[in-house]
Amino acid sequence: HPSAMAAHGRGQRTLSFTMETVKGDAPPPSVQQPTPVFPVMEQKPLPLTGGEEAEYLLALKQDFRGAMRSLPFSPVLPVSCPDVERYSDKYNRSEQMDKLLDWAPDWKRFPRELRVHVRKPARDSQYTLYSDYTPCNQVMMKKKGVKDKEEVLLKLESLEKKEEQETSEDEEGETKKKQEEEEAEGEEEYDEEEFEEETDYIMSYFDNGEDFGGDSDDNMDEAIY
Amino acid sequence: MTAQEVRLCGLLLQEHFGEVVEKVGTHLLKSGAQNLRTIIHETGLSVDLVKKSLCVLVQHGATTFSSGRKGLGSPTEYHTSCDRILRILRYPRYIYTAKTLYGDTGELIIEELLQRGHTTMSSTVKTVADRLTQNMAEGRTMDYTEVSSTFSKLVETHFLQRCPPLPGVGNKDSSAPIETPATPGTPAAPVNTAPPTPESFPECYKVPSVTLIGRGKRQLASEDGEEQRSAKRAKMDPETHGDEGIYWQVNFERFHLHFRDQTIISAVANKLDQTSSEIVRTMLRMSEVTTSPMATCTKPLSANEIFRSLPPSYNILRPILDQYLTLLVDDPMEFVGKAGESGGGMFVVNLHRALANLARATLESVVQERFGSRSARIFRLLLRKRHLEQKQVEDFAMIPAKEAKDMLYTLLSQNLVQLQEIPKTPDYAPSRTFYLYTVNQLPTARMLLQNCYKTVANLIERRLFETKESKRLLEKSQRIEAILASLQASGAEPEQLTEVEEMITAPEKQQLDTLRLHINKLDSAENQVDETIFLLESYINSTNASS
Amino acid sequence: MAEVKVKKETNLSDPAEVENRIKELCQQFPHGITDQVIQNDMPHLEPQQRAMAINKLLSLGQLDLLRNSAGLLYRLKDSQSTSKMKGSDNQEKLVYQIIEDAGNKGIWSRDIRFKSNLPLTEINKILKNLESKKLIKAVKSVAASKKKVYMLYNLQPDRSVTGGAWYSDQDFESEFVEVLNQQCFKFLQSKAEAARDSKQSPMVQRNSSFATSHEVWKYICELGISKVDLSMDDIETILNTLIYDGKVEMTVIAAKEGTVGSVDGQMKLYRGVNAIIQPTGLVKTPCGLCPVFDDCHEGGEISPSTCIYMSEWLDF
Repeated sequence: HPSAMAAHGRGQRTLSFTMETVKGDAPPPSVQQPTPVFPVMEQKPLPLTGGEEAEYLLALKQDFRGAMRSLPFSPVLPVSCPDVERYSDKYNRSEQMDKLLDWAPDWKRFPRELRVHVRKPARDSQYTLYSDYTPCNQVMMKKKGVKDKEEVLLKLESLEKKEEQETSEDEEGETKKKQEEEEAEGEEEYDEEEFEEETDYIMSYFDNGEDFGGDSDDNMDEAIY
Repeated sequence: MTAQEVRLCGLLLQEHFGEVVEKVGTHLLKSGAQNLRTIIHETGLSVDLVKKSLCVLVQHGATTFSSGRKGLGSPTEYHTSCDRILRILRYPRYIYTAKTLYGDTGELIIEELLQRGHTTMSSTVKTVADRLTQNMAEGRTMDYTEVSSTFSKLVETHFLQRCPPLPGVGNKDSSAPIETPATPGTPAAPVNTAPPTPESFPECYKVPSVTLIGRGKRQLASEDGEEQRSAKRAKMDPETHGDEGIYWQVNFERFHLHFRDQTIISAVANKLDQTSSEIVRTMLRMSEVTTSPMATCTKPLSANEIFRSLPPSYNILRPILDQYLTLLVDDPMEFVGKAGESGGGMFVVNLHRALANLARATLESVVQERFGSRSARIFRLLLRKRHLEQKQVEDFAMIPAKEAKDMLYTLLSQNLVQLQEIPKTPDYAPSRTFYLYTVNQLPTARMLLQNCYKTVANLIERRLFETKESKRLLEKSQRIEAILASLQASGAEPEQLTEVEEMITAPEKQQLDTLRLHINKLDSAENQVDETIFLLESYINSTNASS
Repeated sequence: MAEVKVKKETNLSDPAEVENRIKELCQQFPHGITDQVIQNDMPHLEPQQRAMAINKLLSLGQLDLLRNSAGLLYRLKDSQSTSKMKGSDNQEKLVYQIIEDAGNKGIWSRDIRFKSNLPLTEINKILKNLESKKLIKAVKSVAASKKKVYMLYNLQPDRSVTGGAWYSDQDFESEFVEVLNQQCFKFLQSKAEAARDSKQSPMVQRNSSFATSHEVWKYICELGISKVDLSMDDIETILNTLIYDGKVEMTVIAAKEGTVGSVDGQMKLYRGVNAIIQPTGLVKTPCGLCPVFDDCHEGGEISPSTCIYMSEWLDF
């Protein structure tokens, strides 16, 4: 195991030259003997600054992180491999999609090429929703939502079991969704009427969904403050 | 852009915008300016996700875009810079500062703008009024005009500014010829199509006339999340307020000047005394408008002017002020300099010198805590004497040869100290060569800044790890809380509630408490390392400006 | 060393050569030489240089100063030692001569070998012999620990050999230095505090927080913590370490002739000062002090997740 010093970069070259050839003395023994992975740290870190200001800054930081999770700025992968899947993905995915609907960018401030879906000319052409939703997706999630809700209300005791079920269900859903997304690639227009309706429905679903899931960081932070 | 900066930016993007935006953002940081097609190709993400991510990044000012860099009609290119993303780390401080200057209203305005990236005044005012109303006693509400007035003050003092107008986007086809500020004939220059600065537009700090009449609305408890609600209302709101299309953003540079001034004031208070610091505070306040952000020192102020501007509560007599000014000028830190004799003496605050001294003290503090006070003595000695042989170091620092050698070796191996070879003969024979130790403040500051970035990234990684480790338990506790909430809402029996509560065992509860403590400590540490980052960045930037 | 010397032009800018030339002259005139002899031999030698050379030789015990009718007379001290050297062989005389030439700075045995061209074993034998006769002594040099230098028995070792006040038995007294460092600081600090508490005008406060090196010297002497006599220079050396510690500042002011503690119309003033910043945020994290910081990578053996410093810090 190379010692910390020996592994060091730029200064080392000059150094080895100097220490070995110039001074004629061997470098301190610490670099010759194998050092433990975590050598004893001689000095301890000073205590963090405490007090009202530091506490408030901490709360602001955690609140902000939490708030960003509930804002429509986190698009999520439609599919995630099981080995990298995060807890938050599982619970937030659908929630996040909902939030994306909530964001109405002023397209005057973005390159035109970034617009994904162009809604039918509506009341206000400036507000254009964009999302990767397709009717199929929504149906699928609607189904899942109902199931989730039932499970939670009815099987309070069998938390673990529910989780297993959901995981497999998720994976199933993902595969399906991926296919659908590939099919749905490109610009697709959909009926606004239906869309609004679906949105409302999904909202109520996500209200529940959020209660049970939510991002781990996020909820934890909220729990603190 | 260094690897450490990119890594930290990636973590910050991930935490605030999720993994997809992180992937696109990190890719752009590494690749430099790219067009949409290339980004899609190289990230392997779907068209849809890349577009959305770019929208998020543009919305939050992290990514800029420009067309025609490679000639007329060439595709739009996206460019992301670390600087803007690293600012996320400082968000708590911006928000907190707004609170100290403009109260809760100021706090919420800045918070809202940081969350949204950029938004209109009317939308901000409404959301903030709603949030404030939410926290007020039942029956009381916050008037829009009050929030508007705070918003205007933030603009007047330049803490907020208009987003610069973007010509050639929106309804125009991006493939159409677009006029860009780039000078023709310089296609090789990296990104010279950077959008113009906000301050290059005359209306940057002009508050539009906004028709906003009303009061904050209180939402019912059963309704969904506060943020979503207000955002939705703003969106669905059929009203127009006359400020459509005028977007505002937080002026970080202005906040940084404020932080810089506060740091100088507190340095003076530490070194001299409270009254001296109040005099410097007064000088800095008087210079806010007249001194350019990159100036090395403030515009000269006469003792007479300073005297007139001192708040009466300080109760400083004129002769006493003169004494204080003399002492400030005499102090080796040279926070204040004398620029002339008229008007009872002309004085300036040496902004860049103060930053250099503060940065030097920061480096010394790091060496002191990490390697002990005697290594710090050697480090300071080298900072003062520039070049010394080992023997001289021993003699000046009064440290025995062997220890001094070990300390120098350690400092050298950590790149905090450099060694220069001055050969007496052209053959570089070691026996005929001087070996001089030296400390170079600027490169050392740059290196420590990188260490800070790495440290914050480490703290975030550890936080993610701690959270992941307790994933199951967190899930469980969150669900139980959710169940409790829904049971309570449905009027469940107390026994039923207790039963559910008891599903978290005592050791589990303890584990959760420990986790919370850990997360808090890591988060606080991030905040506090950012203070070091701020100082080092300010110092490094000031040297760019003066050279 | 009474070999034949070829007279050559003496390099007057080299004090050692001047001293050697004077000794040569003394050897030519075993009964002693007057100042005039030296002046005649080296007419371009400045009187001051001549005086310095002679004083040096006197202090090294190589010359004797005699007085006769003609005035002052310099004579090689050689005769006395020669008598002591009776019964010694030529090699022993040679080694003795080399050691004598080295004066109170001494000479390493390796250099004796180099100059005498004798084998080291032989030299060691001779050195032992001379030591037992108390003609020479070995002194540990502070310049290089473990190395001994030899000088004539009756000489007081040079400060460069003993290290002055900071050495005891050729060991640098680190602790002594640090104690003095702390005591000096304490003195300056209390002075600064008293100045602050005086509630005088800011200028008076600042001025009364200053102490001259003489005041500090006096304070330390009165404390009686030093076994050896410390000079004002010694105290200034200590005060300088406080400057490098960032705890003290020094100002030089013009002083009236004859003011206590002034040198050449100048006086050094010292005062204890506060740091301009609190310890910086970085050092409040384990990473800021981590000895393996550069080896730390997520996924590596040393990583934020596996870091024991971090664990310890979190649980503290």
